[in-house]
Amino acid sequence: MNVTNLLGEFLAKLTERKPMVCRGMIRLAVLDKHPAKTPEQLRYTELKDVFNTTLKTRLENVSISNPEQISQEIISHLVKNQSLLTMA
Amino acid sequence: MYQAAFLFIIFLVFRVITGAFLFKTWRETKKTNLLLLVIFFFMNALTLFFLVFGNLMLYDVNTIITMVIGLIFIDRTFYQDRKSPFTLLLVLTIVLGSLTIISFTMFELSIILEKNVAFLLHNIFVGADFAIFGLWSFIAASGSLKAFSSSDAVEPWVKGRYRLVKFYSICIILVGSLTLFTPVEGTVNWALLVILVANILRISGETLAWIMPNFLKKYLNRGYAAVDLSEELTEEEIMEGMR
Repeated sequence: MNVTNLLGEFLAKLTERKPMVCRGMIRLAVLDKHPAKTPEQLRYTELKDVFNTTLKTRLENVSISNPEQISQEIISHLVKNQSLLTMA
Repeated sequence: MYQAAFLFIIFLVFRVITGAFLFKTWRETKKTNLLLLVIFFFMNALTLFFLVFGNLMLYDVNTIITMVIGLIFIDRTFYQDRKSPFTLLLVLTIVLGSLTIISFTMFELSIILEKNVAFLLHNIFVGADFAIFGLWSFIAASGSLKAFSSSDAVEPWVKGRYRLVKFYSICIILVGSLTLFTPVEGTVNWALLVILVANILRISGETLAWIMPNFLKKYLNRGYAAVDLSEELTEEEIMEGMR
């Protein structure tokens, strides 16, 4: 929950959308690649891969501008807060 | 040593309990860095086992290996894809560890006057290893906590865990710094007593941090509204909300 909340909040800031919707977006992007898992259950490298692939595709599908830059920024945020995947 | 053995056994039991709890979590999550932490706690228990039976050489060797595993854990948990002093600290730990073992061998082989010098050198080297590990653990936890301390997205109990890591890291630094002042053998001085108290606090902190009981989580989370309604949204609603 903590990882989804933190990254969802960050995605909301980047896209100027509601945090609740952005948290949902992250969950969907994870489910696209790992159908039975939540973001909290993924390893750091798996989550990074999700942001690089399925999240980017979903952002493109809803015509968000600069999906590449947003996915890179969210990866940077994950890198900075990666310890939450172990500590939370 | 024999009076302290009882205390070391209590420490050992706490390490084993923490290791076993983390092992259970690792089996559920399969996160590699948690396995490193499991090994860290079990190795630490083994170190205490050697201390109880008075085998100081094995105690030293195991302490160094435990520190190395601890450094790898910090690197894999906090510093993947980030600039990290890991290689430098690893080399320092191994060099200091080798010097610890050499000075202990000198201590065992030398006569009374040289014995004191060898013991002092041994304590400096092993103490520095503790201090390096504690300092890096403190810096890693502080830096991460700072990044989200003002955010409501992270639950207070999680922030509490980071604070506990900072707390026990300070205890480790204290233990490392005061090892220099411990007496040769058979006597007890102020440094030894402070180290004992710091170790009790360290082990309590580590146990609480990694096996945080639910009542403590609830207490730390009091007043925190953790409602995530995103699970109730359908895929269509989410995608529509993003447009």
